[in-house]
Amino acid sequence: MAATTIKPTRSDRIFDVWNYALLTIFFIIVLYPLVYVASASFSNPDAVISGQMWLLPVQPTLDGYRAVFSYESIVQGYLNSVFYVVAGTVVNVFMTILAGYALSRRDLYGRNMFMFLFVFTTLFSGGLIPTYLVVDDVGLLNTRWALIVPTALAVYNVIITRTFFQVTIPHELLEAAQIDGSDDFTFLRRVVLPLSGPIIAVNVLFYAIGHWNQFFSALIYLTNESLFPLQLVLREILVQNSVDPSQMSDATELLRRQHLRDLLKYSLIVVASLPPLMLYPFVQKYFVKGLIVGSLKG
Amino acid sequence: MSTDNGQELVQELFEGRITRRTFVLRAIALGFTTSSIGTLLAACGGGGDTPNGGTGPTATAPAQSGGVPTTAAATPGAAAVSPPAGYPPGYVGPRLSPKSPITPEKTTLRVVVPQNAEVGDWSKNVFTQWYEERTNVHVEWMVVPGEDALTKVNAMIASGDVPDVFMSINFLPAQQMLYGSQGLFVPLNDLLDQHGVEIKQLFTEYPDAKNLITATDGNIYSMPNLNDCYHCWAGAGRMWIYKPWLDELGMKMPETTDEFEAVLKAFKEKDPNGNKQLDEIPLTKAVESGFDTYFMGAFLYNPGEPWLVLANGKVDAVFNKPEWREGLRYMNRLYKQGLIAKESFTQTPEQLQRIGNKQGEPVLGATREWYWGSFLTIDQSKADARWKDYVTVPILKGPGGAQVSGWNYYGAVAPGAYVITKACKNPDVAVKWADGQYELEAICRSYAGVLGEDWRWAEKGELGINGKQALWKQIVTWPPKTGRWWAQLGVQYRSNDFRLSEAVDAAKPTFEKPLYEYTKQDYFPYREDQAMQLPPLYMDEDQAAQTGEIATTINNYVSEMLAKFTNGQVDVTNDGEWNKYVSTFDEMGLSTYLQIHQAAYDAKYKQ
Repeated sequence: MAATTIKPTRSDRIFDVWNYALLTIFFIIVLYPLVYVASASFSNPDAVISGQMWLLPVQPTLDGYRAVFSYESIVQGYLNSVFYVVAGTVVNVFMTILAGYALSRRDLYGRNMFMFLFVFTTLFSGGLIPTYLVVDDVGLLNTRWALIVPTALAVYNVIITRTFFQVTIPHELLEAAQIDGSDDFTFLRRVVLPLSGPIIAVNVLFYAIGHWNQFFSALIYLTNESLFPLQLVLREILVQNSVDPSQMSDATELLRRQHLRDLLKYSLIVVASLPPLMLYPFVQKYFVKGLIVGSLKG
Repeated sequence: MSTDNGQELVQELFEGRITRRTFVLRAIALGFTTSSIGTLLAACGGGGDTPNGGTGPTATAPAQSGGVPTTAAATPGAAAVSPPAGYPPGYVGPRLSPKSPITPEKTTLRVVVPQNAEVGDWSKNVFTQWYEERTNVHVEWMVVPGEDALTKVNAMIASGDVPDVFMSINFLPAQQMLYGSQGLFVPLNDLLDQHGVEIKQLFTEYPDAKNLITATDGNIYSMPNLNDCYHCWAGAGRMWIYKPWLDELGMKMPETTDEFEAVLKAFKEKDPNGNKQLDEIPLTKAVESGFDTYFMGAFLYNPGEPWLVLANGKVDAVFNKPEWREGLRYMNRLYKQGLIAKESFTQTPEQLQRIGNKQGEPVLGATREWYWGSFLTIDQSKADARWKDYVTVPILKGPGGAQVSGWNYYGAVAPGAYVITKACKNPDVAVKWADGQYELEAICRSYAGVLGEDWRWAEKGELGINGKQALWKQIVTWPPKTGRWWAQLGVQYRSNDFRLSEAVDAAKPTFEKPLYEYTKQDYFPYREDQAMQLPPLYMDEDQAAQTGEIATTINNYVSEMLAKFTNGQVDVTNDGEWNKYVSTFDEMGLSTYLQIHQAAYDAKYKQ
């Protein structure tokens, strides 16, 4: 039989075996906590605490999920968070592309100065109280915009976006378009954007996850409960229900919190991680590419 | 005056057709005097309106003469209203009193509260709405996330955007002093005198409360939240033991340090769970709980962290005393014989629970924890659940005869719970609004939900946790559903008698009763003299900052050395090691630390 492929050498085979073995171990290390959390969320909390549950759900129940959704504030928080993610990300991506594109053009007057101003803010900021005062003075306090406008742009994302444009959009393309009678906005819309799928995906993912996990702005700027994002509600439920007997003046309360926490802990984690997990597969194929290209010549 | 009309009116009230206010006005119009309205209500078996128009259980309760008449001493001239079964004999605590709206015109207060998932949306909460109707005060809620409340509150204060009231933010004494001296928090002394009703009764019945909320400058900056939870005051010193093993081995409940040692030894060596394996764990605990709060009681009075006491009016520490060393010797002796599990100093509560919940034969002999729930799962529905077999061991008697259980005399009063700021235009309304929350019906509703649905007044003959006539009873298992109660926030007056007057359901006994009884029998009799406990102090900013630093160093060192002396890493029998331990405290600034406490103590308590 004619050998059409090169027979792997002994050392190659040993390498392969080791490789697969190691990768399998890493895979299990990464996967196990995820499976554990998912299974625990469907198990009886008592079984989880007593250590009976270690891989698959024990005494399967939906109690955890029922308890999660019995909180009005969780449902409300979920809707709010979805709003903040969608609206916030749209604003973010729009602003970032505009800034990134302008800064990528060599013919932008004062480009270095603008870049310096952008970078300056990443190193120095006014601090919490002055920022709070500004947000208050412009009337954003206790409105949904307080979570969107002050964080409309992340400088890090502007830099990777700018670099991406510099690397992938040759100046010749612009010249060609200009000869055909295109102005800057048409060029951006008709030529640059269609070529920028990866970097848009990276921006969407970064910003969306940032908004989804955001709680500090909400904590500082909002006092109206109906505007609270999910993370704030989750924090409240999980952190406040952590049990410290010496701080607690009441055994009934202690038991209630302990029970609540056990019941909610895992289902909350699943519920809260679901949207980012669902988003990831759609942008994942652009993700690595966009990041690598964008990071070049940072 | 016609009794028929009166009965009709009361019927209307119960069926929810008229509000309480209309009821009172119309009753007066019918010729009832204020005190006879009370009788009328009591006669019909209810102190409050039942919602949803139903004839709640209260309305069908048999007519009572009112039991023990209420004194209502704090409200001269007000109608005396009693719950249907009357107050238990000797009852000290919140009472019913008819409330009229605080202001004729609707008034608005801006109140900052912590976020709470159980309360839900504060503005839509059922108790909020009931209380607004009762007081005619509308509240504009400003909700701050519970855990980082102070970050947000500081931002508010710095920007000058302060509310009328901070409720349940729990400002520390040093913060009250700071903001009080800046004029941000309003001194309440005169306001309470003029407008307080329920709080005056609270001050009469809990004289310490007034003292504890008064800052060193003589001003009262906050109204307290009072929760006198009897079993809590010995919580840090409870030792639990698996009773069936004692019976199995034919041993009696240990009373001295030597007897306890013998019991643990038998647990370890004689296989009391009978599975032919020496898998028993004689004694363990989770990392956060202390052994010292129990064992040291056999040698000297130990209040637990920060281990400061009063000796004849002088602030002193317990961790460098010879008796402390004796206690360490004893614990080391237990450890050396393998009677204390090694994991006691490292394991998390979850790990301990796995031991406690172990399937099959139990393996846990004794444990130093707050209550059952800290070391196993409490199943209140099963009659033979394992938690019921664990009972408390009384505080032990030491070789020198000492037998002191650390009892927290000052735990009931949480100062800083309700603060009024200079931004408040109607401080009198703010005071009355809080004061009304100390009233019995308001407390029950805020704590247990809707009257007639979640709880009801007790009937004659129903007994409370303390075995006396009960005052009220839960219909649903506590806690009420989300959004129907205030999740123990706000200000309340839950006296010991009030807490113990909750009816016990014989069919569904909770752990509150046994916990109360064990505490009463095994720890309360051995409590220290109140003069020995260092009360909470109001330090100014400098004092607080200075002691804060030293406290961290010292407390960490004490905890660390407790473990090291116990497990023998440092030899407690070696005089050199002990002297080094004692002198380390001097290097850490113990004398300055004690002096600052002494100064703060003298400023407040030595007049």
